Amino acid sequence: MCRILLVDDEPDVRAVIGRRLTREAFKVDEADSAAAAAERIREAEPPYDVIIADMVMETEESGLDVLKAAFARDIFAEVIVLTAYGSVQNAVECMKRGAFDYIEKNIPGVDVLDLLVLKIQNALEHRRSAVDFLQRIDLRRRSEG
Amino acid sequence: MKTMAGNEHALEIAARLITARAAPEQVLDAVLNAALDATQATQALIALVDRRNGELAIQRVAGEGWTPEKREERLRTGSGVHEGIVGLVATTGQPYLTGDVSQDPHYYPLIEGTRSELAVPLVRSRDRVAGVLNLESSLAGAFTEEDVRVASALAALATVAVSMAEHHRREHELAETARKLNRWGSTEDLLMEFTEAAARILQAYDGSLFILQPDGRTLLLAASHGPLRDQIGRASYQVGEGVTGSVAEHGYGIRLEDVASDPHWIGKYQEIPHERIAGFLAVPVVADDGRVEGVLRVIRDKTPASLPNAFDEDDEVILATLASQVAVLLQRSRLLQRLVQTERLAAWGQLSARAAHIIGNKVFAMKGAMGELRHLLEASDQCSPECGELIEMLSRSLGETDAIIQSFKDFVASRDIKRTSVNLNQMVGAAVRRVHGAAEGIRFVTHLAADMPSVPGDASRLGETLDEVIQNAIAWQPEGGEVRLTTSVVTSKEAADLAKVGRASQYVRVDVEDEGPGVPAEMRAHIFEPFVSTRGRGLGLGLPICREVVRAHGGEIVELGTGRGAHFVILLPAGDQEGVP
Repeated sequence: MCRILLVDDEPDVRAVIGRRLTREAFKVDEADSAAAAAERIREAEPPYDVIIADMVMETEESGLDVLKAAFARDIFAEVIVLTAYGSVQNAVECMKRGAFDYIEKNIPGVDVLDLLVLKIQNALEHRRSAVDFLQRIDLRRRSEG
Repeated sequence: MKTMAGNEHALEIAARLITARAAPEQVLDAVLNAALDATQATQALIALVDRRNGELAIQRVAGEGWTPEKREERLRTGSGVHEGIVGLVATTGQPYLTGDVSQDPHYYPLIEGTRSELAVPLVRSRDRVAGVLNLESSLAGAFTEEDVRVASALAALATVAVSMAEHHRREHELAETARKLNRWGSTEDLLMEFTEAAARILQAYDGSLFILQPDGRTLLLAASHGPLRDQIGRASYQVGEGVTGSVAEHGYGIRLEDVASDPHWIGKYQEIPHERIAGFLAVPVVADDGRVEGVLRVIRDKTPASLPNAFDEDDEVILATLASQVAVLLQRSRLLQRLVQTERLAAWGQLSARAAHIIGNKVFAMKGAMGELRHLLEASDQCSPECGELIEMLSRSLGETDAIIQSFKDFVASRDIKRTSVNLNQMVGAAVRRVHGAAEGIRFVTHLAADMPSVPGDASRLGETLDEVIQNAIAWQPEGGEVRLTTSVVTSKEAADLAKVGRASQYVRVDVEDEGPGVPAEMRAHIFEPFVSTRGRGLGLGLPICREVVRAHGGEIVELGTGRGAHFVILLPAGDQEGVP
């Protein structure tokens, strides 16, 4: 089962996303701040497959803190950053630093939760292929060694 | 006894006082005493022309027989009645000598027992008479030609003292006025003080300030102290109308003596009746970019006893200096207003950005919950058609809420632009293609200028702006109507005539005209303000966002109100601007 960490300081947001993702058969853990998320990421065994983090929580750059914690634990971590109004700039910065994607919470006329599910599936695909690739390299190295 | 040495000594004392910068009264008294000494006269007086009304008034006296009443006397001139010798000399500018006043037709008795009288003019530059030095004696034939020479020399010294005092007074008043300008105060009050100061410095009876309105055609009275005071904000001239309008039209000062004889004079708003105006002086208020922003004018009063008292070149120079200060004041007031507005918008923007963030999160949660609810109901077979309709309605409302927050966000971010080189012709074409499908039964007619220069602009924001203006046209359009889009290149001057822009040398102009009902006159001033919606839908931020975006580009958007329907014009500075990648 895929494990997802959902980080958002807004309980209602965590509730609806959590509910929807559970319905999609993901195992969802929650954290309400970048600091709490960092702790959960460190302690998780095995690491989370996908981390969904709100950009603006304690600070304007909380999403970046979550991103750093995720990569410190697992270089194949897939992080999707959520943005509300006015924080797209920071989300783009996250992309530059290796986030899988970002999603604006309010896109008129779009079911953002559908979009999120789709992106999570893409992220998992990405993660699987990256891990596969590494395993193949590892196998070849062992057979050659 | 009269001696040459005594004369020289008297002159020397007066001259020394002037170089020592003594008070003018002191110099005039020294002149009078020297005159008494040198000519053995029994009484002496100096009368000066009061610039405010052109009348002669006694300033200083010396000798015997003066009563307070006599000192206070205003000497009549010009009227023919009580003209007197002093009045005659003030009018002719020539010395006058009589050895027997009883035989003299010009004599007007001021001191009893006078037999001889000698009067010499105080002549300022350009043959203008500033006053008269008058000597009387109880002896017949008391004065000689040598006395005329000495009195004239003393009068010249008195003139220097009077002119210097006048110069110092003006200088002081100008400095005082400049200081006032640097004090914070309401612009209206400062303009009033300024106009009053102009009248005071130039010894005018009254002064008025007319300010050119944003329409560029109307001069509105902004300050006046006399009878026109009640008309402030109402009295107006069109540019080119009357002398005042003519100053605004041509941008140079006009000086008149006999106002009624000037072909431009219409006497529309007069501080005093024209037959009482001794002098009229009006200068343009010119901004640093050379545009006329108003007219500052002053008038001098006259009475039947007045000497000619028109304004001279020096007065015009001073009034023009004051007018340039008014221009500074107006500019400062505009900058301040813009600063306050920017501050307010920034504060409001921050607040709404935060509010949008919070509301956005809530809306997101509601939409999510709505989706889950729909999912549950569909799965449970309990979803009646009514239930479905309600959910649809709620979803729609939440979607609209999203759109509203989005427009908030756009408004807040509308000044944040990223410039590239933009071709407005291509942009208009693309905008029409975008809306074409959605606007059934509406024809789009485009006239695109050849050789369109590029604009340093934010392509995405300018595209959205065009979309909004075109959508606005479509919304009001009758079935089968026509929306015309025209692009052209205009000069700085043409742009300035349309809207308050004009710093760039060239502007690109986009006209969007529709055949709808147009913008009601009472709404025109408000359609670009936030939260004003004539369509009764949305938040009323569409056009305000457009304006913010266009202004962020150094341009302007206006609704002309001259066409059949609405007629929007977007002006953007063309090419070769700073900040273009």
